[in-house]
Amino acid sequence: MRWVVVAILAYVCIVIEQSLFRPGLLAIGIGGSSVRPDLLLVLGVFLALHLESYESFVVGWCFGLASDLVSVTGRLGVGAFLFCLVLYLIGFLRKGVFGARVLAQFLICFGAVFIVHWAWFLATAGLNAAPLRTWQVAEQAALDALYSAFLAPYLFWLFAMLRGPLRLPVGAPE
Amino acid sequence: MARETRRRIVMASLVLAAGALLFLPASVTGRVRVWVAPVFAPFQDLTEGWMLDLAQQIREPGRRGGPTVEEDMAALVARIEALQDALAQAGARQGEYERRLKDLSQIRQGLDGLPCRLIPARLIAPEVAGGRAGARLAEGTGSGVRKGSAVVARGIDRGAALGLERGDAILTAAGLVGIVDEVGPLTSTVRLITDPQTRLMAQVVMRRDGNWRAGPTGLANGTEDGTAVCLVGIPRTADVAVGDFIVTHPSPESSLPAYLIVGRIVRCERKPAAPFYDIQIEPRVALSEAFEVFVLAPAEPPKP
Repeated sequence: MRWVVVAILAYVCIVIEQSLFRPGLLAIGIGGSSVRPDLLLVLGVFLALHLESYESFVVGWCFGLASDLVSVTGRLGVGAFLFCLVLYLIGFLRKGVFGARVLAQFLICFGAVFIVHWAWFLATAGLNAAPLRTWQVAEQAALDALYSAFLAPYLFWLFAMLRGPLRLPVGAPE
Repeated sequence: MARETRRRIVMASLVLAAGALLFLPASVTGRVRVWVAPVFAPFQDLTEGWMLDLAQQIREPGRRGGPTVEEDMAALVARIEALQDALAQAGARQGEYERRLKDLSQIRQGLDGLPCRLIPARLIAPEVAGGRAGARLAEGTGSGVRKGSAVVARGIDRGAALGLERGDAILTAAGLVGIVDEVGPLTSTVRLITDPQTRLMAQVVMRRDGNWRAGPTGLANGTEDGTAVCLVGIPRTADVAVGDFIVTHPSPESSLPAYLIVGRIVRCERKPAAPFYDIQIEPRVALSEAFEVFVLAPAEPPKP
């Protein structure tokens, strides 16, 4: 795998996420909160379905740290920990997953984004000694996950077109 | 095998690094985010412009582009005027607060550490007597009210809810105004020191040859017409003169603290064959103009 291409792709995802998925543009306002997809995590899931668990772990850590850096609140390290954990698990279980199927992509991305966002909200609230509001943040995380999951098949298709420059291992799911 | 070990070490290091990042102080985290923000959001200004345009299009579908320069200017001028109004109000309020703080400090200094609460209050329109105020009275000639009669009682906008009690002193930085006579839940009635029914022990304080000294004590009460205070019971042999000060004097019957300024002697006569002086006092506080006052209440409000 070419790490430089992965870094560039991740950077593009972050820039798009920060620039276009904002309130008033492509973020969806529901009940006073804006729902945004997690493009970086979707890219991470795509890579985790193609890479070994060790590489997925490292990719997850780097993506998580980048996600921490661009978020407005929360402590650094929470995202890094959650991303690497979830992507490691996906990388570990990838052989049993039919990653080429749209439904599988939808479900995996939904699950990954939901777990990471929910855990991130709870961890941030817990570390800042704020009220947890578990169900409220679960709802927000579920909406984010749903938005990400709807975009996932299209993003997977786009990322699959870059398999050559990324030099992903042969035999991985298309 | 060595490769697998190296990988495990890297993974463990990354987990430890993530854990270490959690303990970074919020100030450092915030600074790092400020530094990296332009790197990850290079087109933020551009898309922000789109966002505003989009919002404008939603509000005014038929209109192209944002507001004109003239509209912006008009909005800015209106905002500046509103801010100036707010500043003027804040300035006036600050002036009032400073004045009240000065009054409070002066009163506290005069009370010499007496444990008490000073409750800011305002005298409200007279209800029980008067001809000086413009308020309409519930009483008439049948109750003896005549044109030119003096106000001897006033209302106050504080009551039992703030722990006021009958007999509490009402004062300003200049001196004593009156005594709480009746306490209601939210308002109370104040008997001014010029009320003929007001009785308080008072002491003459004088300055002779550059030295201050305490003089004789007597009973101060309002005159019959309710315009001034007279001091009775001062022997004609005592050293008393016009301009001497009158202060409250401690007595078992009165809850008033000692040494509150009541007024100054404006008339001091010795009538033939009378054993006592005929003394009239002018209150230090202009009672007809008094508005903002303080209630001298006990240190702890009574429990409901």
